[in-house]
Amino acid sequence: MRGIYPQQIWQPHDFKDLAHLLRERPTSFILAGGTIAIPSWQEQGAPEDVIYLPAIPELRTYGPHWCGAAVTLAEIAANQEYPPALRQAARSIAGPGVRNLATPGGNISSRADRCLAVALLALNAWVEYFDPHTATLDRTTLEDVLLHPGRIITRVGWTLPMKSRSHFTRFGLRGVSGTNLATIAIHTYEEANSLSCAIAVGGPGVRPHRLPRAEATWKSIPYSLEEAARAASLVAMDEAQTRETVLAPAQYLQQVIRALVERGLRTVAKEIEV
Amino acid sequence: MANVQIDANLRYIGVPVPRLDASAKVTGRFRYMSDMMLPGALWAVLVRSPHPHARVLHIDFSQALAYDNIVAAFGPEDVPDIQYNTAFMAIDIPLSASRSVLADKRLLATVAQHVGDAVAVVVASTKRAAIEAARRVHIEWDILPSILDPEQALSSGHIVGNTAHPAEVEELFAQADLVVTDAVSIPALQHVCMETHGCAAYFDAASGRLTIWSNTQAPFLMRRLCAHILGLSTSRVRILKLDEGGGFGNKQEIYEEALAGWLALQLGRPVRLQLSRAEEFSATRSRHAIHLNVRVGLRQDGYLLASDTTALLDAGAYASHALTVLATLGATIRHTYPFALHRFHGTAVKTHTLPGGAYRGYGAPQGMFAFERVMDIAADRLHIDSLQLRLRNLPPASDATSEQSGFAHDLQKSAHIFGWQERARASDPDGIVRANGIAIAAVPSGTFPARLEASVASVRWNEDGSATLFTGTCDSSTGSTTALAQIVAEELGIPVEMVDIHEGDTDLGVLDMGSYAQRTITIGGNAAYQAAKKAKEALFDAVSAEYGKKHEDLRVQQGTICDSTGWEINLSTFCRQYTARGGGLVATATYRPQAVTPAYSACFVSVAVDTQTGKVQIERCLLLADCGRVLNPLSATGQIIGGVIQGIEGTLIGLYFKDARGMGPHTIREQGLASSLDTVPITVLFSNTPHGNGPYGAKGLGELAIVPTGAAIANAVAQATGVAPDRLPLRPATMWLALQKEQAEMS
Repeated sequence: MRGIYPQQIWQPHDFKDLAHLLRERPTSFILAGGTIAIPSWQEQGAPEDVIYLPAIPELRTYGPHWCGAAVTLAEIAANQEYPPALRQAARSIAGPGVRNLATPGGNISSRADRCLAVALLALNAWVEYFDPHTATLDRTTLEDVLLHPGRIITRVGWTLPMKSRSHFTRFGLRGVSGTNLATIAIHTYEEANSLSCAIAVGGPGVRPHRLPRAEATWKSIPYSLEEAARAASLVAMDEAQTRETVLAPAQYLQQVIRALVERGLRTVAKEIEV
Repeated sequence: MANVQIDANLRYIGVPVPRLDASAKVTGRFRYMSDMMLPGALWAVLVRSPHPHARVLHIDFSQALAYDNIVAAFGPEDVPDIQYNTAFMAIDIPLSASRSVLADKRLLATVAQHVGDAVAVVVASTKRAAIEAARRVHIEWDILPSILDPEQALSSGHIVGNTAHPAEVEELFAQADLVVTDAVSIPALQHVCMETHGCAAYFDAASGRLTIWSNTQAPFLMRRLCAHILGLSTSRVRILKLDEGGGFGNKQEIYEEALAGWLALQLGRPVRLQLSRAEEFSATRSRHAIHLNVRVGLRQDGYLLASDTTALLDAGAYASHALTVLATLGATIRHTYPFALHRFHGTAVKTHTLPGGAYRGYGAPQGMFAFERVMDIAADRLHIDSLQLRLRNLPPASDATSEQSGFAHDLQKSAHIFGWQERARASDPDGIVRANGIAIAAVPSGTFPARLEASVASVRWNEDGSATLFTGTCDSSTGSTTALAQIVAEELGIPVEMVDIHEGDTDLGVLDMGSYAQRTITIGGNAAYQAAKKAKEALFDAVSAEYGKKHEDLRVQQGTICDSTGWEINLSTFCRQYTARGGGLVATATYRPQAVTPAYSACFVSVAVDTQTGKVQIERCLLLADCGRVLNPLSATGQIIGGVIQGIEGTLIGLYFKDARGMGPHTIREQGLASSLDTVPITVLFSNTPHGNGPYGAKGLGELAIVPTGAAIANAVAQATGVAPDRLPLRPATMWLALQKEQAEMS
């Protein structure tokens, strides 16, 4: 019978410490902000050993094109240097209390809605992670981390191409916070003298993913950006993976994604035209 | 109509006095039940059923008792076998078949009636140990067939009772030019108070008295029931109410107070108990789910002749408030449209689901949702503007005999301020359609003609010229304490800061039913007003006797007692001298209402519906409240805004979806909860017309806003989209599917 409180919470001071702890207690639970994990312990019971990752100071640092895995969502939302989609995604999550604790590392690693991961995916983000076997830091794409979860994330970053514009929408019961139905992130940028776009989609029970066919459709429509947005949104509707529930049937979720993609693309198109 | 003009003759009434507890609450210094420190207290945690309907065959406490710091564990066989109604009803009724339907709860159940029903309790010296030990209690169950659907409960005879208001309406229906029927299902909804239920108990062996602390809304009824369950004299039980972090009706019920009292008696140590958020969802109460059928008959000119409403209420596992909620639902329709003849028949059934209980409005929001929807449908079919239809069924402004006549006048003015005439349906290229909606309601202040409806208050002059009000009422986080202080200050002629309020203690020598049914100001405020009036008389009697002054010339002014001749004496000096000689300046008054005092409200909303996603956005809202004279515009506005937002929550957000075990939402996130992020621009207008029955003409207002808000939103949505909402909440997917269905039918 597992209790609702961990037996031990370990706070490593650096990566060496972390490696040591993981060697000593390989089954330890890696905790970031704790906003998703700790409430779940009330129902499922707590792990015996917990390693509190934000105790490592390096994970709480950030730069203009990257942030440590333990930087809070509130800090991301407030950082004017960060792309709009990333700030909008951070701001859309929960309320101020949770945003002051929650982290990008936790958001990407959790099985919750992962709004931040959707925005990062559209920004072609990279992820730095700690390999406990070699006690070194490695780097891979966010897509790879989402496909092969379980890594100890230490940093996420992105490279902004020329004329980068981004937009994030979370569609839920309310404008901010509350139950989420679908999220989309749009990123347009200049590539080889033409305009490209990245479209990422997420939602409850759905792994954040890109929509390459919709992206290609947008690029291939030679007419107006409005028409390109409409054509891409129709492809997105078929391409996006959704997980239907009793409350939101698949047909409805597809329609929501269509509307959000079209409106998101139109929003960035307007910025481009301006 | 004013918003709100201060009467020059009054010093403290109608003045926006900040809440007396505001500073302590916003700085975190206010002490709630969960902040309580009780040295040496044990913690109790309940073991609850995972099954909707199951008999306890055997309880194995061995693993739990082996856990560190465990003091004791008890099952249903160990505790007193008394049946009671959790809503404090039927205590005096002799044991009978009808009583056993209402008095259906035991301290610990031998047969669990719903998921979350308590069957055992574990007591430990720390809360953590009690939680962990409770998880180690093993129960052998005999799982019984369960009824989760109210229709099934009705057909199988699981009936709590019926409430009827008979009337010969068929003749009027035959005369009607238009008869409209509509059916609406309103789901349950959890209150989600910020603070969970909690209680503590301490037995003083020396005095033989049991003290129970609780964040209840009804301390005196709680005392009566706890004494009954524990077999103690009422005088041996003291309830101390701690201000709760939100009540909304959910704390108008006994939960574990008597059990905590019993544990304190058994163990000889103080015992504490605080429900977790999960227990709030599985073991407290929800708003009742109700299915309503409404039929109305109108003349061509929009005059309502008759209505016939039937309601099927899902009481859940225990009777609780079910029958009185039904009665209130029916009465609200009659109060709102007093000129028509109304027939009502309601049936409450029992299912093996979370019991329903009191929820802000007490059935009125559900009833008026259905009724105001059908009135709007009638307006459409008669080609009469929705506002005009309401006005045709209210007494005209010129009718001096009706107290509702002023409301009709204010309704017209409010419509003008809101811009009702600019209500034309509009749409934009993104598929957003817009329209306005309206609904009205009449909500009684208090529970007249309930037998116990009364309040007792005492006012005492202190030696320094300040005063203390001892009131049976209690503040249910509404700000009523501040309003009571204003009433006493006004009557005594001293500043509000010089009035101290003592409430929520059953040892104060006063009495009241509790803080609910928007009765605190009308009933409790009247008792306070009359006690203050008598205390002032007592003061003037003493001055007259001492100084030979004419009683009727005396007044209290700026810290002095003076008369028209220019004579004066310092108030504190007189009080000090008088009390030093053994004189007491105390007065007590009892207030019993002699009639129903309805308050009126109307809600105007403007909505935007996104037809591509089904999302309903409220763009603006105006709430007109006729709550008599507004005692404190600051807290009154807060109450109205809170009510509107709670109405929005019930209409657009709060989802009570039952799983296969009949269990509703497990978390706040699952249900959805309106927060400050969901606020919309709300204009609050007060009629501010003094009413004869209330203290300084005040009526209740706590439930005024929530009652019409849902119907106004639904009416606006129907106007905007042509889709008639027949179930709640109007979440985006529900709305979108309804729009698709409508489109398919049209094509």
